[in-house]
Amino acid sequence: MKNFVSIFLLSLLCVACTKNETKCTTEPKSQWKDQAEFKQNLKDQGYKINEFKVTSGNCYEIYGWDKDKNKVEIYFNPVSGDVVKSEKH
Amino acid sequence: MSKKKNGFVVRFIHWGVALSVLLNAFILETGSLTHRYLGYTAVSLVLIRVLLAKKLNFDHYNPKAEYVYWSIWACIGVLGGSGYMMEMDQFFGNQKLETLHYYTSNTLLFLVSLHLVGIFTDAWIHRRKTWMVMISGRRQ
Repeated sequence: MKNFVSIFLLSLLCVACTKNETKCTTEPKSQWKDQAEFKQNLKDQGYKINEFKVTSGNCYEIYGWDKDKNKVEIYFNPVSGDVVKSEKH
Repeated sequence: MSKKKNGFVVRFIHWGVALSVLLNAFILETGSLTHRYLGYTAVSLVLIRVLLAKKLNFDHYNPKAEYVYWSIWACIGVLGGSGYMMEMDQFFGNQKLETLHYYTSNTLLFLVSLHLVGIFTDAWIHRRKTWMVMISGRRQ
């Protein structure tokens, strides 16, 4: 019984935790950079973009390759254009 | 003799998969390195479990709920497959695969809730301690 209760409480705790999601800005979308210009700017810097998306954490996110041919997933602040999180794959 | 050992393997797989699903669905960031490797671990565990299911005759679960188990395993398989494909160069970050991955994970969570409703119904209405099977290995 003790086992069961502790496992149940543990799973409740897991569900209660908020998802660890990268958040980039709280600014309204009107302040965000134009998507086409943003992508073009990255291409000019040598990035190859396989996929571009706007995340639920208010980021511009790309899947692709950087100028050194590293396979990367990068989260950008859509207002400033700064890299918030970069992950190599 | 070997039945007890297999019982332990089944329980270990059950909690390993349960933990992986909870962590990947609610805690770890979508697509992060730990999310990916934990996902592949879950798929491997499910694969072992499915192979075991063919080899062994289990009497400890409700045969009427068997379709739920197979659906759960199928979902985990689809999640592993779509997740792996999203990492391949030609499909890297592919949004169609990501959508498939997303809806499959929601289906999986729905099936998990069905599974839990079944266990709790059994415990409270029928006064059966079905859940003990996955803790001690036997009904009490």
